[in-house]
Amino acid sequence: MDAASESPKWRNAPCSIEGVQEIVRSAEKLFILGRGTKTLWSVRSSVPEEPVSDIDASAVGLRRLRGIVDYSWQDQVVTALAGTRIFEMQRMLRERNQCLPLGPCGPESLARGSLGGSIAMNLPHLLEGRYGNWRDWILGMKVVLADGTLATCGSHAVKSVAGYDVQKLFVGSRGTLGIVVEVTLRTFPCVQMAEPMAELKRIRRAVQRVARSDYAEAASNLGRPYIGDHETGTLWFSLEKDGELRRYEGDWLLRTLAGKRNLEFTDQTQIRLMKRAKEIFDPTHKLNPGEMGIF
Amino acid sequence: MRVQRRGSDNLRMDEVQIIRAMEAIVGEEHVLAGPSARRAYDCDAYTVDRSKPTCVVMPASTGEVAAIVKWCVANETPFTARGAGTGLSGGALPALGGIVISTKRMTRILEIDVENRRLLAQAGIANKRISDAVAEHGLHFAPDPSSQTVSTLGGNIAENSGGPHTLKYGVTVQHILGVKMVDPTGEVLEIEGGRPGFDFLGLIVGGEGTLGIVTEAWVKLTPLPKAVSTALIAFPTIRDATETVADIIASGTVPAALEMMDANILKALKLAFGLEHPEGTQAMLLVECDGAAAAAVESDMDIVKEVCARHHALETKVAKDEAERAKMWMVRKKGIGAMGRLAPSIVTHDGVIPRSKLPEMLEFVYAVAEKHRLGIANIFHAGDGNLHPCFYFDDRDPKQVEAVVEAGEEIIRRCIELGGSVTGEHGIGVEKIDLMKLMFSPADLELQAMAKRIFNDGSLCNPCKVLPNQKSCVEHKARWRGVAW
Repeated sequence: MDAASESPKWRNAPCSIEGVQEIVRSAEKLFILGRGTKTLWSVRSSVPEEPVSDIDASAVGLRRLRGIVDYSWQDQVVTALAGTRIFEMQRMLRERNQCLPLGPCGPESLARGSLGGSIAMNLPHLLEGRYGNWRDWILGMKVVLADGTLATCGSHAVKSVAGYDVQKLFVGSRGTLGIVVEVTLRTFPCVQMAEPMAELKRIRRAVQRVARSDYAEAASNLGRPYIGDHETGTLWFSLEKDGELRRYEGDWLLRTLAGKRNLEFTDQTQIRLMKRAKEIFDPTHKLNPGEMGIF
Repeated sequence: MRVQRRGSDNLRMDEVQIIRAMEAIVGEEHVLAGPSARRAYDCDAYTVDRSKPTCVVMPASTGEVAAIVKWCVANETPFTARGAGTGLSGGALPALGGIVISTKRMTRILEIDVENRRLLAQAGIANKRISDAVAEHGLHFAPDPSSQTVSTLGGNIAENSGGPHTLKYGVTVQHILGVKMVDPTGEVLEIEGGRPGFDFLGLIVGGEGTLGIVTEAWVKLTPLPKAVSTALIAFPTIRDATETVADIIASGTVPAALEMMDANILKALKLAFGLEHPEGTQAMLLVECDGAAAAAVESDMDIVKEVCARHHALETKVAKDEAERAKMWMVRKKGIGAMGRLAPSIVTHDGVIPRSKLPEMLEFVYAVAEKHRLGIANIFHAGDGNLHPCFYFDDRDPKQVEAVVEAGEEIIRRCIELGGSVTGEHGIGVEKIDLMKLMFSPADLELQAMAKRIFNDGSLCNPCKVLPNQKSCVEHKARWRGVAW
């Protein structure tokens, strides 16, 4: 069950972009729900001492906003609605010997999740060093903004520098700046993708990224089983909710089921800019309240 | 009141005050304000529109840039950053006059961190110097615009520059790890990418210098490929070459670079560099495959050769050694320069289309040139679908100039109709500002304006670029638009 499902007054799952716009226009506070597969990582994930149920919010579910809008396999470009499940998309791409090179990334299978949810969370994955992540693959998107306006950014071309790259702002923004409803991606020739390793399924709770030069030390200091990727300096491992961990200069850590500690910002410039962006994009703090932990 | 200063220049009192203030910050020897300097800095490599700055300031550090910007804000003076001035859309044009902040003196490499494959440099360093500095470690800076021997890191960041090898390695934004910048209020910010939270770095790269002035950047260093195979392939028709490009991409092979040159470019290259090609050649492809293992690279090149043969290739010449490979690339990178042999003026356009539409698009481009009776040559990043139709003409004839502008717009409109973009790598600048409305609705443009406001809520930092209908720009536009005509 989605963690946010206890607090929203009601939820709705429109099957059209217009339906999403309508819900956004009428809501005062709104949670955005993908498939719920990455809810563990959410700042709103169940933490008894820091409940967020006092937020009087509605919810919009994107699970019915699904399907491939356009697939030009010769150009290696695909456009899909945000609620499309990743495994559904991969299955279709595989028919043309193509894929999204999204490797396993943690305790839950990314493949069961939706495109929109994965883009919103932007979790590291095991093929990132070789193929990049969502910010490198997204060519354009349609977004429903906090006032219900539908806007398009980027393009369908594999290369474009027309205007500001606003689509990059929405990657990893956890639905706090707008709701991504449709996305255009470049695809890749099929790569060998191992099934999520058994160990990775067992390993839960946290991902840490350190500089490559700190990787060996960080891995040996963990003192617990981990999956690692030296190329990106990423380590996946289990961590108790209040567990402490040795930190390294410039590193970052994402936890699960630890509430506000799931996502912590320390860089004051980043915090200030994020707050400013939020004031411009969503001045009434309507979208995914509390999700970033800093507003 | 006007003041005679530095020989023949005739300056207003307020302009003299600006110059004195700048001299106080960077020293008199680092401020250019004479008539020849103002003329030299009134445009970048997009020479159609021109606007003179009051002066050109050459700071040496982030601190000096911040002091300059703070003074500009306090005195409501517009400012525009400039690297090497190789931009092709007028990004460094001081549209409302004011100060040009040149990064000419900010060329130092500050740190090379081989273990973490990154390098910190000042924004004024030439792109190629970065790769040269780390070649001994088997690394390079992957973005390689044709101007890379002179174009600067700061300029590449502003324009999110591409280049032939971006087909495989990605454009500049994928190779910038963090920046130090002076925001439009004069505050120094350090912004790192690849962290949880909003991706501000992704917005700044490609911001065309309108979101602040990047003064230093950490760049990602990429291992040099262990094996490389480069080939020049001649085709009897344009369609054979363009269909080859579409089929190579559709085959699933991703070459490191896939470039096309048509007969008129080949004519110029023959005149300039003695490049030979088989009789009857109408187009050539330059294809490069690279990777960590020679066998895999060879197998990729075999697929390429097989596709080429299917499309009636006249000749396939694979570089035997590094010297031959370097020569193949030299002719590609100097191709536009060689066009000086064909006509006194050249305008290079920049549009993108889906790669599968290359055959029909190229036919359209030649038909447009014929309709307007213009000379046309094509040299471009075919693998990305990034066209660079070059019109060559005589700019002393106003009718030819008019025809060039009309033909260019027809081509760009067609790019959009086919699902492409108004610019693949040259940027919007002032050149394409009116074309933004072809690609984006008012709501889309407002979204971009919102993103801009995160950093720039004023009208002094590189004004009148990227977004159409900016306050105070419309009335000034008549002053600089088409001054060169």
